[in-house]
Amino acid sequence: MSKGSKKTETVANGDAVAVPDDVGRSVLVVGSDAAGLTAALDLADAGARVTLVEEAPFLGGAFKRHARFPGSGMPAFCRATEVIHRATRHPRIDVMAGTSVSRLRKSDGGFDAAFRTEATRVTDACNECGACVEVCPIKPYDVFNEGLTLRTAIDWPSTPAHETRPNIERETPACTETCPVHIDIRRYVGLVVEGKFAKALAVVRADNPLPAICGRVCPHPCESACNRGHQDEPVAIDAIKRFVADYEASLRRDGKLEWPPAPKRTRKERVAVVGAGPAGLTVAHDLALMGIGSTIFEAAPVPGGMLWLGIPEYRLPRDIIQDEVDYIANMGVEIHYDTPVGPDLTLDDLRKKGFKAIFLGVGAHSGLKLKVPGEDDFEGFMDAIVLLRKINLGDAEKPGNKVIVIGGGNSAIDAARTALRVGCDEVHIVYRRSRREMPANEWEIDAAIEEGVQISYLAAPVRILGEAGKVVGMECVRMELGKLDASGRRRPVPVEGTEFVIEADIIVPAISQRPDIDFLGDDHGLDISRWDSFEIDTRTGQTNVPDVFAGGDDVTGPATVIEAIAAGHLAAKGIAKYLTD
Amino acid sequence: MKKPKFITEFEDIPAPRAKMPELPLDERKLNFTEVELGLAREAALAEASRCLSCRRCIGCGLCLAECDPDAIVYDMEASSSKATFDAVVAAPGAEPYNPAANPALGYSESANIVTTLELERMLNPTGPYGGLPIRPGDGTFPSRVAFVQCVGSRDEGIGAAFCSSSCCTQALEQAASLGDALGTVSVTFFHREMRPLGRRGEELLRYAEENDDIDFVFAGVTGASGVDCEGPVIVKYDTGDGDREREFDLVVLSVGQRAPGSTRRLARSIGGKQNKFGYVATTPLAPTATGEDANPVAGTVARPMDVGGAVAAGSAAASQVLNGLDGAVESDPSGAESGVESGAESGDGSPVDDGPAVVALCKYGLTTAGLDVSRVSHAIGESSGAPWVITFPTACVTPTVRELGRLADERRASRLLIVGCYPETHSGFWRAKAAARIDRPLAVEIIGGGDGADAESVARAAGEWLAGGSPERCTDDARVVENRTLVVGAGVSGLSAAAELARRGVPVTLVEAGTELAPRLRGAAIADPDAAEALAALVERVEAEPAIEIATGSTVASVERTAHGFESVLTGSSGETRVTHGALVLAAEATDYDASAIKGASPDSVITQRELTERLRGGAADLSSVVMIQCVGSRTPEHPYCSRNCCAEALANLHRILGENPETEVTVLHKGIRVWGFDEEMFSDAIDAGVRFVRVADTPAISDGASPEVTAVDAETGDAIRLAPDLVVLSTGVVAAEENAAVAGALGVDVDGDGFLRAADEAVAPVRSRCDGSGPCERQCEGVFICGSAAWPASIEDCVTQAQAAAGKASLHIFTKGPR
Ligand SMILES: Cc1cc2nc3c(=O)[nH]c(=O)nc-3n(C[C@H](O)[C@H](O)[C@H](O)COP(=O)(O)OP(=O)(O)OC[C@H]3O[C@@H](n4cnc5c(N)ncnc54)[C@H](O)[C@@H]3O)c2cc1C
Ligand code: SF4
Ligand code: SF4
Repeated sequence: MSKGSKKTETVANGDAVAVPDDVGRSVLVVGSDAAGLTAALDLADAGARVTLVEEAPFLGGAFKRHARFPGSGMPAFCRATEVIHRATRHPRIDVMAGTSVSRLRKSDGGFDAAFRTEATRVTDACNECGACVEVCPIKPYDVFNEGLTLRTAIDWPSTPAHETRPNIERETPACTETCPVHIDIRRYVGLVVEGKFAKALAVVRADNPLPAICGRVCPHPCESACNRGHQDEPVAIDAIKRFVADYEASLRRDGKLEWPPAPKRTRKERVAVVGAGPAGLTVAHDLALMGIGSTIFEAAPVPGGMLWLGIPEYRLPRDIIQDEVDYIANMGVEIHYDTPVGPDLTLDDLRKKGFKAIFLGVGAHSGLKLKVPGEDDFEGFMDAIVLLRKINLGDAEKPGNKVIVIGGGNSAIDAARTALRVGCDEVHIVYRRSRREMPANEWEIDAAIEEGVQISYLAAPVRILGEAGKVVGMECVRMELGKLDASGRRRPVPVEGTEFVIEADIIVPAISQRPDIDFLGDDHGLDISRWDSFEIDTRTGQTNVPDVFAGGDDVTGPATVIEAIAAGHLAAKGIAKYLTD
Repeated sequence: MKKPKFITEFEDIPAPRAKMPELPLDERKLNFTEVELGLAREAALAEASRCLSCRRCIGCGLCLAECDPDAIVYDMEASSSKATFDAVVAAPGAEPYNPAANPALGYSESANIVTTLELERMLNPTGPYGGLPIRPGDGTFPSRVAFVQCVGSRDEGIGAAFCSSSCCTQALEQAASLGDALGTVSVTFFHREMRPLGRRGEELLRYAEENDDIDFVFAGVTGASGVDCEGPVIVKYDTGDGDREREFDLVVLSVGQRAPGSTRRLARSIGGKQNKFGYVATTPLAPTATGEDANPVAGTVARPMDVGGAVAAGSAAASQVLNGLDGAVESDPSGAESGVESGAESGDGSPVDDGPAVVALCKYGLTTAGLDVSRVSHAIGESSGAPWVITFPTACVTPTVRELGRLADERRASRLLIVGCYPETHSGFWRAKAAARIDRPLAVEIIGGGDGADAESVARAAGEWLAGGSPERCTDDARVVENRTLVVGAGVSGLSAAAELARRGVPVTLVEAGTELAPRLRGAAIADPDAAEALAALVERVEAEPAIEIATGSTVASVERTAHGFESVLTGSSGETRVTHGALVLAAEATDYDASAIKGASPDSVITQRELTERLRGGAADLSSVVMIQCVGSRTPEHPYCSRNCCAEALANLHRILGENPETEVTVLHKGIRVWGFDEEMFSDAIDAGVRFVRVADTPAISDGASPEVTAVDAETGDAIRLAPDLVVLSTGVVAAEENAAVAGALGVDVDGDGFLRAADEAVAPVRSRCDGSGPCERQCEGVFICGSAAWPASIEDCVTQAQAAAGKASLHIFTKGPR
C-alpha cells in the first residue's frame, strides 16, 4: 500500500484542516511554477498525497511574477494568488518552500529523497504583521521585482495576498552562489576590512587550497555576479584574495610564520593521485585533511599541471605555484615527478602497490586539429599547448620570427603574448569572428594589443603555405557578416576574392584541447565519452570502475582552475566515502 | 536584475573600484616578469570596504524588538529531511536568458534598457511602481518604447538554435498593456518574424498590426545604448541594407527561456535524458515523460512554452503519475477541488443576515473588467444606501484585509462584501482569508465585474445582497455521474485522451466520423518516422483496450444533460446507439484545407505538403527544382489564423529532399516562417543549405498546365518572381472539424467564428470548455473538456499534452463527483 507517505497535519492560517488518512500514494513534485502547481493540485485533488518542493522561499516561480497571462481574462496577480492559496491550504499538499532536493534516487519501485530546507529565521508564531519590515535598516535590491526597487533584509512581498512567511535572509550572497567552490566571500572580504588577514585567508582556504594561484588567474565569475556591479563596478574580489594570500606568503618568506603542522593520518589506506594539476592537488589536500594519505604521480618534472605547463609565468610566477604546492606537500602528501602512469606503471600496478583508490586528474593536453590543407606537411607548425609547454619548461629559444596564432580563446592570447616575450618579431592572431565573440577575457585581449599583438578579426585560414618543407605563411580569407537572412540573422561568410597571405615561419593553432587517454592502454574498462573524457557519477566523481575516480579537465574538457578544484573536492569526498563503505 | 539609477540609497559607499597596478609596457619585453602587481595594503582595504555584504541581515536586533509574538530566531539553522515517494514529477520551470551576456545590448549599462520580466513586474499592480511602466532611469513615463525580440533565442552562436516560443505573445500583450497604462505611447517591434502563439497571440498580433501606434521592423538588432539616466536609448539595427539608428525612451529586451542549470541532475535522478539544448528529452507522442520508465516531467523544462502549455503539461504529468501507480487512487471528494474551494470555511455565503456590512471595492479587479471604480462606488451608494463603501487598490492583500477587519470591528459589522473580485474562483480564498485575518465572524460575499457587467448591474447585485437576498449562484446539481466518458474524434488528441482515460479506469466511448482511427494522420502527416510508429502503436493500444468502445463512421446526433451527466445519441452505419456518460472530451481534429481548386489541371506537379510527406516515404524523386508555397488557406481573410504545423512540415520535407539530392533547388514562398521551439533549427539549417526563402506579398498564382508556372511578388523588393519548377508544393492549412461545433452548440459550449472551441481560460484552464453565455448558469459546460486542434491549431506535442490533461480533468470530474 502507500509506503512512505508523509502524514502531516496541515495547519494553515490557524485553521486545523482535517487530514484524511493516507488515501493514495505519495508524489514528490519538484518546482512550483505553473506546471508544478497545476500538477500538485491535480494530484492532490485526485487523492494522492503531494509534497511540493520549491527552492525559492515562496511558491509560484515565474508564474507569480507576471502581470498578465496572454489569453487569460483574469490578471495574473489575482490568478496566481488564488492558485497558490489553494495549494498552500490543500490538506493533501505538503509545501516545502526554500527547499532544495539534495538527493533523489530510485529505490524499489519508488524514490528516496533528501531535502535541505533553508532557515527562514521566523517561526510559525509569526502573525504576519509586517513590523519587522518597517524597522529593518538593511536595503538590498528586491530580486522578486527584478531589482527595480529595494526591499529589506526580510524577504517578504510588499503586498502579500496569499499565505507567506517572512524570510530573513542571511546566507549565500550572489558571489558565493556563483563561485564553483562557494567561498564565503562576504566573510573574508569583511575580515579584510577589519585587518584580519590571516583569518580572511583561512576562510578562503576552507574552500580553495590554491588561493594565491586563483588570486591571479581565476576568471572570477563571482565578480560578474557581484551585486555591487549593479551600482557601479563589482568588488575586485579576486584581487583581495590575492592580497591576503601574498601577505601570508611574505610573512613566511620573512621567516615570521611557520608551516602549519601536518594533519594527523588517521587511516591506513593510501590513495594514488594521477596528475599534480589543480584537480589532483585538491584531492590530495582534502584527503590529507580527512586523515587519508596519498601519493601523487606526475608525468612532468614540475607540479601544477596546466598552471605550470600552460599558463605563462608573467601571469603566474613559478614561486607562487611552488609555494602552494609546498603547502600541500607539507600536509604529508608525497609527490613523484617524472613518473607517468602508463605502460610502465599501470593502474593495476598501483593497485598491487596497495593503493585502495585511484584519482585520475590528467587534464586535457591534446590539441585539436585545424583541418586545413597543408597542416601536416610542413615543419613550423606547433600547437599552442606544445609551444607553451616547451617554453614553460625552460626552453626559451624563440621558435621563429613571425608567428601566427589561430583562435580566440585565452590560450591563443597566452601563446601570442608568450611569443613576444621570447623575442618573436611579429605576432598575429587570426580569429574568424569579431572581437565581440572572442571568448578570451576582455582584459587579456586589451593587454595583448597593448603589448603589440596584431589581431585580424573576421579572417579564416584557407591553407598553410610552405617551401622546402618549412612553413612560410598562411593564406586567409576575410569573413564578412552576411546578408540579413530570412530568419533575421547575419553570420560570417567568406568573401570570395579577399584571400590574403600572412607571412610566417611558425603557425600556432590554439583551437581547443581534449584529454589524452592513450596512457591507459586498451583494456582499461573505463567509460569514455565521445570527446575522450571520463564519464563519472556527478555526485561522487566515481567512474564505472569502483576504485577509480576522475575530475577536472579530463572530465569537463578544457575549463578553469577553480572548476578543477571544485571537481577535486567532490572526488575527495567520494573517495573517502568509498573507502569507508 | 540591474541598476535602477533613481534608487540612490547605495551612494553612501562610493569609492571607485581599485585599479590593478601593472608592470609598465616597456618593461615587459623579453622577460616573464609578472604583469599584474597586486593591490597594496591600503588599496586592498579600501576595495574590501566596497563590499555591500549583500545587505543581508546583520542581526542588529531591531526587528526582534518589534516582533510581538517573538517569532524571530536569528540563529535558526537550515534543516534536512528525508522521505520516500512513489513517484516524482519534475517541474522546475525555466530560467530567463541573462542579456548581460551580450554587452552590445547595453543591458548592464543603461537603466532604461529592461527585460520583459522587468516590464512584467512594472505592469503588475503589486510590482515596484504600483503598476506604472516608467523609465527606471529617471522615473518618467516613456513615450517611445522599443521591443527587441529574440534576445538569447534563435542564435546558434550561443548554443540556442531554438525559438523560445512564448516571448512574442508576451511582448505583444505588454505592448497592449502599455497602451492601456499610458494612453499614448508609440511602440516599435524589432523582430525576426513575429511568432504569436495560440488564439490570443494571433488576436494580439492582429490588434497590433491594425494599431497606428505600433509598428514592426524586420531587423537584426546589433546594439543598444543609453549614456545617462535622463537621456534616450539608441537602438542600432540592420534591416539588410546597412546599419541604422533610432532613439527610444525605453527599450525592452524579449529574453528567451533556458532549461535551468539543475536539469542535468534532476534528469539523471529520474532516469531521464537531456536534449542538446539542455532541456529534458521527450518524444512527440509522450511529450510529458522522459526516459525508459517514462517518468513524468512538466512544463518549460521539456521545451519552451507559454503558461497555457505549462498548465496543460502539469495536468498531463499528474494524470500519468496516477496511471503509473498500481491501483487507481481512491477518490476522496472531501478534500477535492470543490471541497477546498468552498469547503468548511466560515459559512458558504448563504446565511445572509441583515446586520451592518462593510463593502470593499477592488480597484484593480474592477478596472481590469473595464469598469469605472468611482461610478460603481457611487452607484452602490445610491442604490443601496450602503454607508461604508471603501475602495482599495487591490483588496486581497494582507494589509487591506487587516484594515477591513478593523473597520468591521469598529462598525460592529457582521457582513463583508467584496466587489470586483471573482466569485467563481475566489470565494473559497476570501472566506479562508477572512477567517484567518479577521477575528470577527463575518458572512463574506463576492460580486464580480464579470462579462458584460456595467456599473449599474454590479450595484444592483450589491444592493440585493445588502438587502438580504442571496446572489444567483450557479450550482451543478449532478452529484453522482456515470463512469464513462464520450470522446469525440479519434485523431492523435482523441486517441491519446481515450488511452489515458482507460488507464485511469474510466470506460470510454470513442466516436469518429471517419471509417478508421486516426484517419488524417495514418495516411501521412507525421513526417517523423519514430512518431509515426508511436502513433501506430497508440492506435493498436486503443483498439486492443477493452475499456474503449470504438464507434467509427459515426457522429453524435444529439447530446443533452441529465442528472447523471450526459446522454448522447450516436448515429452510424449500424443505426443509433445511446450513450450515458459523466464527462465529454471534444477532440475532433481540424481537417486539411481543400486545395483542389488551386491544384487545377496539374494534380501531379502541384501537390500538397501532406502528399509530399507521403511521397517522400518512398524516397525523394529526382527533382531539380521545388517551390513550396506557405500559408495556402491560412492567414487569409477566409481563415485568418496560422495553421501551426505547415512551416515545420515544409522544412522537414525539404531537408529530406536535400538529404537525398543536395543539388535540388528549393524555393519557399512565405508570409513569414513560423516554427517554434526546437523546430527553429530546421529553419536555420535550411538557410545554410542554400534554400531560397522569399517573402511574398500575396498568395502566389499558379498557372494551369502540365508544367506549372508560379508567379508572385517579392514583398521586400517589389520584384515580380516567375518560377517554373518540377514540383509545386502547397503548404495547406487546416480548418476546424464540424463535429465539435455541432456538439458544443447543443450544450452551450463556446465556439469561435472559425469553428474552434474556446477554453475557459487559455492560460490557466486550457482544457476546460467555456460557456457561451446562452444558458443561465456559468457551470453549464461543466464536464466538457477540449483539447488539441479542436480548440486551436496545435503541434502534436500540444495535442497529446492537452489530451492527457483533458483526460485527467475528466477522470477527476467523474471521481470527485462519485462514479455511479
Ligand atoms: C594556456 C592556458 C591558459 C589557461 N589560463 C587559465 C586561467 O587564466 N585561469 C583559469 O582558471 N584556467 C586557465 N586555464 C585552464 C586551467 O589551467 C585548467 O583548467 C586546469 O589546470 C585543469 O586542471 P586539471 O587538474 O584538471 O588538469 P591539468 O592542470 O591539466 O593537470 C593534469 C596533470 O596531469 C599530468 N598527467 C597527464 N597524464 C599523466 C599520466 N599519465 N601520468 C601522470 N601524470 C599525468 C599532467 O602532466 C598535468 O600535470 C588555462 C589553460 C591553458 C592551456
Ligand atoms: S557586494 Fe559583491 S562581493 Fe560583496 S557580498 Fe555582495 S556580491 Fe559578494
Ligand atoms: S520568435 Fe520565438 S524566440 Fe523570438 S521572440 Fe518570438 S517567440 Fe521568442
